[in-house]
Order: sequence, then C-alpha cells, then structure tokens
Amino acid sequence: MKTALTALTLALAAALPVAAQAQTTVFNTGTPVGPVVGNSIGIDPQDWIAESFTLTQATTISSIMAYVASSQPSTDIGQTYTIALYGSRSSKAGLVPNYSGPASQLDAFSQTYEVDGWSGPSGLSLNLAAGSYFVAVEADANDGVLNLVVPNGVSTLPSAVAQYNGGNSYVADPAIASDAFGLRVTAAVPEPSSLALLLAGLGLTAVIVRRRRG
Amino acid sequence: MQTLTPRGARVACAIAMAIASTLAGAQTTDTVVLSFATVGDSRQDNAKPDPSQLPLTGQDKIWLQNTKAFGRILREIAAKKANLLFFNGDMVLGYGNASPSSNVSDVNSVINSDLVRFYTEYAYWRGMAATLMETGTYVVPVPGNHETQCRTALAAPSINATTGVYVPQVVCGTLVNGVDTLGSVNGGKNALAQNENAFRANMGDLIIDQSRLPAMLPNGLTLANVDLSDHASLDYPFISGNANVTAAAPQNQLSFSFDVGTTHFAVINNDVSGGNDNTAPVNWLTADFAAARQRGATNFFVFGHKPAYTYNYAGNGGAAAGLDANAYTTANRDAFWAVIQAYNATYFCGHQHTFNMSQPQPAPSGSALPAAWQVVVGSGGSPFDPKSSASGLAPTDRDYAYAIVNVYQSGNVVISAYGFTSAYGPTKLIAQTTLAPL
Repeated sequence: MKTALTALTLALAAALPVAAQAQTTVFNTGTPVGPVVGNSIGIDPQDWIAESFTLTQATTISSIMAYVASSQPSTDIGQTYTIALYGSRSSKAGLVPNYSGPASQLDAFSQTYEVDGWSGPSGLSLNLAAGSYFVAVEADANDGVLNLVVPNGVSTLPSAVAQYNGGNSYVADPAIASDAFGLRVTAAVPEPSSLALLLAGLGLTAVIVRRRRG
Repeated sequence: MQTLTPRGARVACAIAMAIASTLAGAQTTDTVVLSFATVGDSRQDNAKPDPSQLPLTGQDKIWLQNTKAFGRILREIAAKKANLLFFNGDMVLGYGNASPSSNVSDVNSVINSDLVRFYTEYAYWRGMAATLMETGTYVVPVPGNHETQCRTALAAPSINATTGVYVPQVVCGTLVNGVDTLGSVNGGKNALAQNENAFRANMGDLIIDQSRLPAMLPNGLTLANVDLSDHASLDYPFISGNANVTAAAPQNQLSFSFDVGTTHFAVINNDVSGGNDNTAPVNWLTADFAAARQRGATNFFVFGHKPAYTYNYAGNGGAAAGLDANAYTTANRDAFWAVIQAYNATYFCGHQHTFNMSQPQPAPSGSALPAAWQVVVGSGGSPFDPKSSASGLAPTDRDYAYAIVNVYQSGNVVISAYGFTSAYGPTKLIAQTTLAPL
C-alpha cells in the first residue's frame, strides 16, 4: 500500500508540469497587410527591428511568432535569421531604446526561412515576470545576400518599436503602422479539465492517507 | 522476369515523375553570382543644408559630408555584401577652381584655396569609403558636377549664418573688371580641366585597381577589358559652331569601362571640360557597347551623375536638371538613350537629391526589348531636392536611399532599392524590379 501511495504521488508530481495546456494569446498585432515591396522593413546584419509586448502578471510563454517574408524567396530559402527576446523595459539592463549600455538578451532562437508567414519558436516554457519585453527580428552577421523583410500594416500596434542600425544599441522609433511588424506571443495555461483531474488526484491521495491513519 | 501490368506501369511512371519533379524543383533555387550597390550625392551643403539635418555636426561643417546618412548607407551596403559600389558623383561639395593658390607664401591663402578644399573633402570621403574596401566591397567613383564643375561666386568670403560654414569667393575663369569670364556661361557652372585633374588625383587609384578588384570578385568571376583610355576626341566638342563649346581635356579615368564576367560596366562623365557640360559620350559608348557585345557581354550597366530624364517630383515645377538641360544637350541625351535602349542597359545616376526608378521612355515600336530603366539614387545624404513643405510628395521622395543590384545565375537581374527617412527610421525595401534575360 505504501508503495502504491508513493507511486501515485510521484505520478501526480510528474503530471503537474505536463498537464494538458491551452494556448492563450498574450499579444497579437494581427497579420500584416503591408506589401513585401514598397514599405516593408528590411532585415540584414545592420538592420534589425524590435517591438514590445507587456505581461500584466507572471506568465509562461510558449511561442513567439514574427511574420517574416522575402522579396527574393528563391535566394532566401535556407537562410537563417534570429528571433530574440529582450528583457523588461522596467529594467535598465533590458532593451531600452536609446540606452547605449549592453542590452540584456533573455533568449535567442535561430530560424530558417522557408516560406512567407508566421515563424518562430514554439513549445517553449519561458517563465517571465510581469513587465514589458521586446521581440526582435535580427539577421546573423555571417548571412549571405539576404532579402528578408518584415511587412508592416498591422491592425494592433505595439506600445513601442525600436530599430537597430549597426550602432551600439536599439533606438526608439515611432510605434506607427508603417514601422510595426507582425508579432504574435502566446502563453501556456493549464486547461480546466487538466486542473480538475489534478485536484481529483490530490484529493484521492489525501483520502488514502487519511484512511491509513484511521 | 516479372513484368508490370499496365496499371502498375502507370503507377510506377507517376511515382517516377513525382520524384523527378521534386528533384527538379529542388534545383530551381537561383543564386546570386554578382552583386553591386549604387548611390550618389553624399556631400553636405555649406549654405543650404536640409533643415531636417540641422544643426550640422562640427565635423560635417568642416568636411562637408552628411556623415550620419552616408555612414549608415555604407554600413548597410557592407551588410548586404555587395561586391562593388558605384558612387554616382558629388562625393564632395567642391564647386571651386582647383588651380594652385595664387599666393603660395600666405598660409591662410593656401589653406582656404579651392584646391586644398577639394583635396580635404576628397580625403574625408575616401576615409569613409575605405571601410567598405576593407570589408569586401570595391568602390568605383563616378565624377559628378561638384567634382568637375566650378561655380562662380563673386561675393566676398563669409561665414554662413545658418550653417556656420565658410563660404569662399570662387572665380572660375578670369576676373576682368570684377567680372568672371565664365560667370555668364552655362549659368556660371562650368567643368574645368583642373577640376577633372583633381578628381583623377584623388580617385585615380580606384579607377581601376587591377590587383585589388579581381581579388574582391566572387564566384571565380574575372575582371577583363578595362578601358581607361582617353576617348575625348570621339565626342567633344559635342556641338559645333558654339564659341563656348570646345574640345575637352583628356577624359581618361573620367569615362571608362570594364567587364566582370559577362557583365559590362561603363562609367560616364556628364560635365566635361571645354563647355561640354550636361552631356554623355555617345560615340564612345556606342563603340564600347558594340565591342562588349562582340565579346559576349549579356548585361549592360551605365553609371553617370546626371539623369537623362529629370524626375519631376512635386514642387519641381518641370525644371530640367539633367542631360535634358537645353535643346542641344537634349539631342545628345536622345542619342544616349537610344544606345541604352538598344542594349537593354540600365542607367544609374544621381544629381537630383531624391530617389526615383522609372522607365522614362516606352520601348521602340516593334522592339522585342523592354523599356530601359533609369534609377536615380542621388539620395546619399545631400540636402533633399523635394522639400518637406511640398504637397503631393511620393512617400520615398525624402528617403536616403540606395540600390542593390543582384545578378542571378539564371540571368535575371533584380534591382532593389532600400531607404530610410531623414529622421533615420528603419530601413525599408522601397522599390524592386526584375530584369529578365533576353
């Protein structure tokens, strides 16, 4: 009996972090409608762009998607670029536009261009405190001829946009429709049914313990 | 031995075709075999800077360059890994008379001479461009009117109230009774042989370094048929019977050409000494292109300073700023464009401080060739010609912009223009076109 109880407890403990999780949208600009040629923001080793999203409470981020396109897909297929996450703006160590000190990059995810559309890391389990963060689309320094762009024309504007032009830091840019790109950040939250199952399991454990003591 | 049934054969055939199609699809990826950038007009203005760039920095007051805009363009061109940069003129404010100082015993006279101003402005620009040479992009200079022309300015030397910059007195011809003999010729702007010499003295090592350039070419491409000879006698004087238009000084290293693989590049001087301003060396170019085609050249690119067809931006009011300056030059321009069109060439230029891509003329009736393109990229940092107060400006009229041209293995040529605003917003892809192989 003791062995069974231990096994049940361990199983519940193991199930806790992998309980079925639902995806909830933390921030979504919507799909950009801007053309790939005409006013899309170019990405190369000197030209990066970042925009912010805000968490009102501690959150576990599960995916970060940017809308990336190419003006010359036949050349860019297989080329790599980076989606990077920078720290809270409330911290000076974070990505603060016009702050010339070292920016604090929390994480960076190498991506490979295959087709126009949403692209970025998924299946993440990034625990972030409440605050504002920046997501940047950056090109690798050793990229070849690169024709990547991030189309603009999003329906929901971010609170801040920052650009990097090969200097020491990102600089603030107006958070306007022509300078904002497509960004979609999602968080993982346990589904109610999973939580219920977890609670039921814990309750069962409590009952067994109580009966043994009785 | 087993044989396939008809149905089995069809299935096997379909599978084979699908595999072949997939493999063929995997092989259609096109690759860039040669890439070049082009931009012009980075010089600052001592009297009329763009209001968006005020106040000028101390260094730009002295060396008269828009360092911030041009520096960013250079960094971006390096990042895009262009193999060459053609800089379409007006790298310096110049506009003086590059004769030696008349009073060599007076230090101030020497320092403030037009010759020293030319040389110091050239040196600053060369220092900026040198960074590109060291990161794999060969810089090819193109003469502009601020390099070759002298502009008469007889007012006493002064300090401009807006910029704080020294504005010299400039005598381009000879001062007779207080009047410059060239002051009333060609609007007081005239190319001088000594200015052409100053361009050659400060840029000649780049035109063309036949050791450095081949070492910087990609994909096994070779440099060949470098023509740095003087062909002035073929084209100048460009009209006869005009006392103000005479034979030109030697044009070696001012108009020149070379091949990189099957791509032919020609650089032309538009403002030529002897009164041959606002022109193109049509006769030399015709012979040069014919020889290049004979050698097997498939792509033709020409770089000059002045547009063949003036871009009439909002507020320009139809003023002619290029090779269409007057009836004589327009006739020369028409002959020049006929050569551009006949070889399916593309003409890159500057002079107008703005960006514009256009096919200014339709393809000739019955021609299998598409209409030729003119790309104005005089947007390297000089004060914008389109004023912010003008209504109806195109969104990119006041962008600092440059073009990247990629030549693909397939023969396709893609011209992409990138620009950023005078407020230094993010760089955007502002225009693009593909020239298909013939």
